[in-house]
Amino acid sequence: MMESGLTQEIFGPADVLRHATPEVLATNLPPELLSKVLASSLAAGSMTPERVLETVTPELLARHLPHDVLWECIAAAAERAGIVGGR
Amino acid sequence: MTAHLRAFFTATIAKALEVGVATPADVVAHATPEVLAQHLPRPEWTKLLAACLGAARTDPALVVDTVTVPVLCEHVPPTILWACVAKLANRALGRGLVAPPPAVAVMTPVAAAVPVVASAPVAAPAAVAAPAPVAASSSGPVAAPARAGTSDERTADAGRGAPSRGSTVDVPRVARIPEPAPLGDPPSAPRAGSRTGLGARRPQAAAPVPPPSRAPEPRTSRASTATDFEVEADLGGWKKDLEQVDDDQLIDWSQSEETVTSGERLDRKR
Repeated sequence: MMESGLTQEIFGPADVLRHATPEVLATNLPPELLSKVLASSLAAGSMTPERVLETVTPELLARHLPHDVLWECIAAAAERAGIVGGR
Repeated sequence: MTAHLRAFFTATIAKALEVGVATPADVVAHATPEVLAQHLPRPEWTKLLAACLGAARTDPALVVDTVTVPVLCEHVPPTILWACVAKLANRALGRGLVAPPPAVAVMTPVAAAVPVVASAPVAAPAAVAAPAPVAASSSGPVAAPARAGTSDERTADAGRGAPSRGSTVDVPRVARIPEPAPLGDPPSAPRAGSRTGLGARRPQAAAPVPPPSRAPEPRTSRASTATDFEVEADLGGWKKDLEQVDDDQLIDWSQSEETVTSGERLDRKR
């Protein structure tokens, strides 16, 4: 679902990191992933949501992050798209 | 890590960053992202990720400024911190890029040592004098024997035309190089009747080379007698006379009166 939402541009990397905050990432990602994120950012000279998601792929997000956080991301995107009206 | 050790690393690295001896890149070169990921607490990672995502540029300075040196020194293992400090110190002292002086200048044969000595004044004159005392003192009595020879000895050998020593070809190059500080006397006792020290020898002028003399005949196992010497001397004189005879002195024996054995004149005499 995360991968499809990103591919279909239902939400973007910045939307993901708006919910998967640094605290969430730092708390839940394993050390090797944190290391890769920082290393790739240092190598590139900047840390952007796109670069973070290049390292922490949607599959890894789904594996390590709490699913309620990911669901909030998806729900917020649906609300922005105007498809949440019929509750 | 004890509090004292942590305080030491904190003060050292912070001061190094302050005075410019170290850069944040030097610190992050040891406190790599992998090290930070393993040892830094997650709240610190939260701050770090937030700072990196919020900054326009992510670089080692941002990492060090965000995490801060005290926090780094509190969580990074002391071995890694020490490696960082040691590298900074070596670089500040100018030892980082300089190889240790080679010990081959005295210990190796002369032929191998000549290029090292010859090239040193061009690259770094100050480095020439330094290796020699170190090598001489560290090698002790082993390096002292005059097998390699001093430059004076080599010069003298070249003057005498000694052909078989491997260093003879390169000796002039070595002789032109100014000598380093005198090494002192060799540890072995001076030879009887010789000069007291090798360093005190004066360069010898090339002696005139005598004309090559005839090699002595190999001696046989038989005891020599007086006749042997005479035969040998006669052969030498005979060969010398042969070489000095001109064509005009040759005699045509077929027409000479003294040697003709037939003919009218001879029959008339008879």
